[in-house]
Amino acid sequence: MRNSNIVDLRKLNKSYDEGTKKRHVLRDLELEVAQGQMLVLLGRSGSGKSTLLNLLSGIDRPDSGQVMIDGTDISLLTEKERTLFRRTHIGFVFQAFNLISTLTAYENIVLPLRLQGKKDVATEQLALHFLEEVGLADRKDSYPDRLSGGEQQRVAIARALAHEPSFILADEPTGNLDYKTGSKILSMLADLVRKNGRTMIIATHDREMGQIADRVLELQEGQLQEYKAIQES
Amino acid sequence: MPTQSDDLLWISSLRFLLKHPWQLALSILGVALGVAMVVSIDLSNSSAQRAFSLSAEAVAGKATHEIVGGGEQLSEQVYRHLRIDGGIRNAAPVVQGFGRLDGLARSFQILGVDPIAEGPFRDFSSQESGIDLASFIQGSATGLVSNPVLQELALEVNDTVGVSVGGVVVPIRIVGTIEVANERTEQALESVLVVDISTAQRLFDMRGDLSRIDLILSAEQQEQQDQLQIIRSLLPDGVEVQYAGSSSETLAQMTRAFELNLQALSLLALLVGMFLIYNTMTFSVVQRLPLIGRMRALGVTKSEILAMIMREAVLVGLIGTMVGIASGIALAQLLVRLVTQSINDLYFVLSVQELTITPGPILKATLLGLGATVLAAFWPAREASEAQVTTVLKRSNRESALMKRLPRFTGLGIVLGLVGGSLLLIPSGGIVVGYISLLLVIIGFSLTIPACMVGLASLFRPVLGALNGIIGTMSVQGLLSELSRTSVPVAALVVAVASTVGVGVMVDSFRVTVVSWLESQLQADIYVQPPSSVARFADAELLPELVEVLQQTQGVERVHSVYSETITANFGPTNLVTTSLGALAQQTYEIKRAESGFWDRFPNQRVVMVSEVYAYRHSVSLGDTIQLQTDKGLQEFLIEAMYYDYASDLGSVTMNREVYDRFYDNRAISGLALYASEGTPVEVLVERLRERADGLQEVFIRSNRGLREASIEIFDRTFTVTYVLRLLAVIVAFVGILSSLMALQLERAREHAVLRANGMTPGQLWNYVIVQTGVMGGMAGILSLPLGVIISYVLVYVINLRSFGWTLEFLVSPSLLFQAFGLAVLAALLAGMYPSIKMAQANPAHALRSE
Amino acid sequence: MKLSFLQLISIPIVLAILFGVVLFSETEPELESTVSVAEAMGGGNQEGYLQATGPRDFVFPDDHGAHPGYKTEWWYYTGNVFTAEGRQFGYQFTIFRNQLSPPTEISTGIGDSTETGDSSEHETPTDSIDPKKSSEDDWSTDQLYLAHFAISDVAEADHVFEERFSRGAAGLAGAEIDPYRVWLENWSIERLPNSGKNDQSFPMRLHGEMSDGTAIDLKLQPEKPLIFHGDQGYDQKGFDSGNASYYISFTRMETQGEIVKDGKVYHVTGNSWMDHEWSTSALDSGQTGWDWFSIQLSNGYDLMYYQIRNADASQQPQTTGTLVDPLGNTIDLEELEVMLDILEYWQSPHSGSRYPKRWTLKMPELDIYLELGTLFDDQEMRVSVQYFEGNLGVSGQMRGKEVSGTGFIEMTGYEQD
Repeated sequence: MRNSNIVDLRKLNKSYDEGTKKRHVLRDLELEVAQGQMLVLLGRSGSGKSTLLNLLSGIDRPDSGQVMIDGTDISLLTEKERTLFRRTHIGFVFQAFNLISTLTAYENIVLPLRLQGKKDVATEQLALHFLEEVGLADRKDSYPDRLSGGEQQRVAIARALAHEPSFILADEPTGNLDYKTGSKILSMLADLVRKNGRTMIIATHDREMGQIADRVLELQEGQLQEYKAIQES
Repeated sequence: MPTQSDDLLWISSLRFLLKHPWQLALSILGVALGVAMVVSIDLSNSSAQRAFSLSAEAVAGKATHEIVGGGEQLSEQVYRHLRIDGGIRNAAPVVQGFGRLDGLARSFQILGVDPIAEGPFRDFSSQESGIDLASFIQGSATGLVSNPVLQELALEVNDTVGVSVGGVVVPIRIVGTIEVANERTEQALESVLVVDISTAQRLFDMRGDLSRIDLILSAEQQEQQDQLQIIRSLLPDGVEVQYAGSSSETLAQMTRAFELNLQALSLLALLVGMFLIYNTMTFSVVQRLPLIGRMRALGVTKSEILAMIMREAVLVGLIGTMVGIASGIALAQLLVRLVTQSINDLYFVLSVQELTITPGPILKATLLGLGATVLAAFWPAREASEAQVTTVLKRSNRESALMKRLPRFTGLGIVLGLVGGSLLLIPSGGIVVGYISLLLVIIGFSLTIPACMVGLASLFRPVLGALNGIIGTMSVQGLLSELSRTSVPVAALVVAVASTVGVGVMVDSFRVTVVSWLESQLQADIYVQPPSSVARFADAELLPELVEVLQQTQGVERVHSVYSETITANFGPTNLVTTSLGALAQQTYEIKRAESGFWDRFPNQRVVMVSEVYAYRHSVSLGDTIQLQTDKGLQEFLIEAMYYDYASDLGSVTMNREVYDRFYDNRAISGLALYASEGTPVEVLVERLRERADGLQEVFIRSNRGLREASIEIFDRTFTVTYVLRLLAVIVAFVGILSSLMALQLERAREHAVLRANGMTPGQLWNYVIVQTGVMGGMAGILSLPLGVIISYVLVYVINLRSFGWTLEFLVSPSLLFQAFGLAVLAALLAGMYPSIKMAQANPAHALRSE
Repeated sequence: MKLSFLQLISIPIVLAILFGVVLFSETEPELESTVSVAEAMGGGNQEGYLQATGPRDFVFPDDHGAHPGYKTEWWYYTGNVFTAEGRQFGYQFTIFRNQLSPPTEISTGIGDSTETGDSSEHETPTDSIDPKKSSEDDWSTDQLYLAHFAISDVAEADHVFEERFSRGAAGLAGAEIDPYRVWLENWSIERLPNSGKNDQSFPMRLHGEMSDGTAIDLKLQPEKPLIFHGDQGYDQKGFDSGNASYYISFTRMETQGEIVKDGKVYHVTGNSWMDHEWSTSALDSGQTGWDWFSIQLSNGYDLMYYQIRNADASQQPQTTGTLVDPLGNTIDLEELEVMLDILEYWQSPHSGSRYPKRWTLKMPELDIYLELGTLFDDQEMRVSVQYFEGNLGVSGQMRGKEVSGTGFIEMTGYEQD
């Protein structure tokens, strides 16, 4: 059933004006992601990866087509509705960590929860729990600029998981980290996602990441090609 | 959008503000300076008004009506007639004037009353309140002051204080004190000396005359009409009943234009303050755009972002307003003295001992301060809410948008300027319309500033390129590539500097006009005047024997006299100047327009000339008639000439003495002009006259030059408050430039780090920053000149004319323009100093790494 | 750093509100004040004033006028008048002169202490400019005038009164002799032109109007010559020398005119009595006040009699009296026996003072036995001084014949402590 899919993209088109001519980034793109799946989305720079992620997260809208997330077609929502949707359904892990520099590690994790209106003790414990899970319980009151790159990304991972989103979008999560740290972070991310039964889409140009994924897709010429299908278990 | 996330967003805001204390402080300063100006002017004005109305209330007491004569005086026969033949009981005679008490540097109202008649009117001067009639009414020069005044004088009851009236000092024994029941009464009586009517008549040389008769009539309409009818039937020609408040109301109206102008100046400061707020808030938003983008990605809505920034603005506004109010109150302590001084010089005697802090001005300033901040912060806040959610910020979007909108912007500016300009053309428009159009012109001009900067850049680029190589060119290009951010501080700077230019040119023009007017006005060699309480009026009289003595001094060839008094005309209280010059007056009076043959009729026919200010105020022109209350009743005079007169903004009417003497019984003289005979040096004659006057009356005997200097000194004193305001505007402008340019450069730390990383030496970077801010200062300096001249043009030809009716010569002094330009450049260079030093010292890697 | 926006904003707001409350709560009070004056010049001090120490040569018309130098002086008019229907009114119309300080040379202080070096007073400069200058123009004075005016409406038992003040200068109040005019603003007694040449008993007009419209306008014609009380007008009141006054009267004046009360005009006729008395001090210490009777009998006789009461009731009261026969001849009662007994008192509900209200007056040597009583109780004057001034009903016998009469009683010094 379609409804069981967390993500359901149909005939997605998106193009940008570049001076006088139009560049078609996505052409009739289709994608279904089921609950609990972990996808790796490959693509070279300029292939439209970021565009796709923006559409998935409701930051941008398609020219045409359907973006069904957890049963809601977010392409039909207003800007504000999409923002509120994003608040509750999507967790982000960015390449540039994107922590709020004026909030501590702990506060950064709490922010999405607070945005959802959760203010109870359970929320705080949840945040602390995830901070512990990423091994930074002792750094909870540190500001982002006091943390190393790896630590910052670990905070970002905790933040993405803490508010229990429908799925997590990770955009080059190891892009700003050295190889060793990157690998460690990636496995931590994968472990935590699986442990919590989350769905995740990782956008990257690093083919190695395919190893941890259930499915690997590549964006080429505005369409998706699947390399590694779901292995029935 | 009050959700549960409020706290974290607010904490984030707060930490951001505290992490950029410079910016926060500058925003607060921007609000505070503007608010302080408004508060201080408002408080000074309202303190002056309150002091005025309190002392008016004190001396008017509970009177509902008053009887006044045609001239300044009223025969006491009228009072006797009312009391004895009319049986009118609620009537009290008053002889009132001004004087100084030895040891106190302010004028006192000397209130001469009959304590026996005072009961229903003024409790502090009535028999019932405990005045000892034996010592009070016997004519032995006794008086009462309030307790605090006695303490101020450091005297005891029964001590004597010297009271100086029109150059004559009289010792008055204080036989009792007025016990004040509250602070309001204390304030009302802080400059009042109560004496018996007989004492007052002697002090003011008014025996047989009263200043007025106070009345209390029924509050019931019909009854009041009946009473009025009876009273009117008892009054001789030229004597009238009017509402008790009407003369003090007229007095208060005199200062309205003056106060409005001060207020407008203070609002101008607030406008500059708004630019500062807009500027700093924009920076604070732009700096945070990535941060805001991330928040948006995490699901913070646009309206939450808008609310967040607006809350910051409210905080800045509140703190700034409070700081502004506090410093405004402090500033008002200084200003109230200047405002009072100006009022004393120009209009009437007023003594303001202390600042009255009333809720009105504070409330107004709070609303203005908060309102201005919120208004100025709205656009930056909206910009913040529009921040791209994407993680990488591309600023060029915004820049290209402004570049694209540049023609629209400029067009709007030109339209606004034209609307403002055409508003000025409405001849019937009042002062307020004048200021609104001035505001439109200023805003219109600032909207064209980005376009002007683009234009100026093409002038600056080759010049600086030639002088400073690639760094020079880069500096100019840097301004244009971030036009949306560089144009705001430049606009703020332009408005601030231009307003100082405008006010400066206005005052200069005024001064030059007055000086040249004085040249032609002062034809005689020597002038004799008694000291008067209002500097720009002659309200005291010369003793007749002194006049006699001076006239008969050896070396005096001829003499003419003037007399000035306030009489009632159909246009209200009018300063009537009487000259004994006759047709010779045409040599001293600068005539604007006159009927042909006027000088043949002036000496002995019923014609008068009016000053242009008088003509403007009362919209009369040649050929109109004016009705004056004379001792022979209401009389009509034909206005046949109009002359320039800068002595008073209330205007005056001039009549020849010969004509005056036919209608008035008063033979007083308030000034003498003497011509030295051939061969007598003026200075020698002045000395001789002084010797002869010694012991008769304390008078000023000054040579032509001496009087001119004294007059200019008074003029300058009158404008002190304007000078101070202008200085404050300069400070606001300076701080504004400094703050906005510094913020701009600090904000570019990252760009500078890139430049440093790419091999720019600290020296070169210093050069780059200084040149860039210098160029901005230079542009602002250049652009402020035309705007400044436009502002001054409007001030001189529209605002001044509509407020006071003066024709001024328009004079733009180059030094003033250089000064303004220098101010802009200097402030800009100083502003570049700190960031460039900081950058030169900093490790570029740090700046590159951050965020 | 857990300060919420509201917490943070609330600090300045609360401060601002407090500030505002303080400012706004400062309501505008009335301008209020009293005067505290240097020690008055000693109310009881008589030094420097003229004193009545012995008989004097009266000179008329001068002695109808004011006698500055003496501390107090009054022109006291009382009378009983009737409408055609017999409705009775009493009136009191008195103008007092009060000298505020001993008659010494007063310097104005203005004009003589300036640096003009010209100590010839202000007169010099002003006279030359101000042609209007006359004695009327000077407001400075040591003469304070008071006036009391009361109407006793017997039918209504209603007593209305008013007091006025004025300085005795600037033409506002005074006593002039030629022609006779004593006035305080628009309350006045002035001589009317008369056919006869008798300067001492001339017709006069008395008129005044109170604030509430109660008014009087009477023409008085003396029917007897001027009476000199005591020792040819010198009336010793205390035992101390100088505690005496000069005292002259018209004891019977034919009166006609109008009284306006409560908006109604009454045409009245009757008899009036005038006293003119001046002195510096009248009472000794220990004397508290007096009870003074003026009586006009139906047989043409007039009687003036007063007693000065002592604080110490054991002492004999000082008394003076004059009986005037219909032709104006006088009998001094000084050496004669006069018995005055109080029959009844009235206590004023206003002041609490207790005044006699009925008396018997016996003069056995003259064969006069009279019963006197106020015509109604409340005729108390509560003005700057409190006293009782009321009209009397008189009945009794004189020389064996029934007589009746009208009169006035004045009682002073009954103030409650």
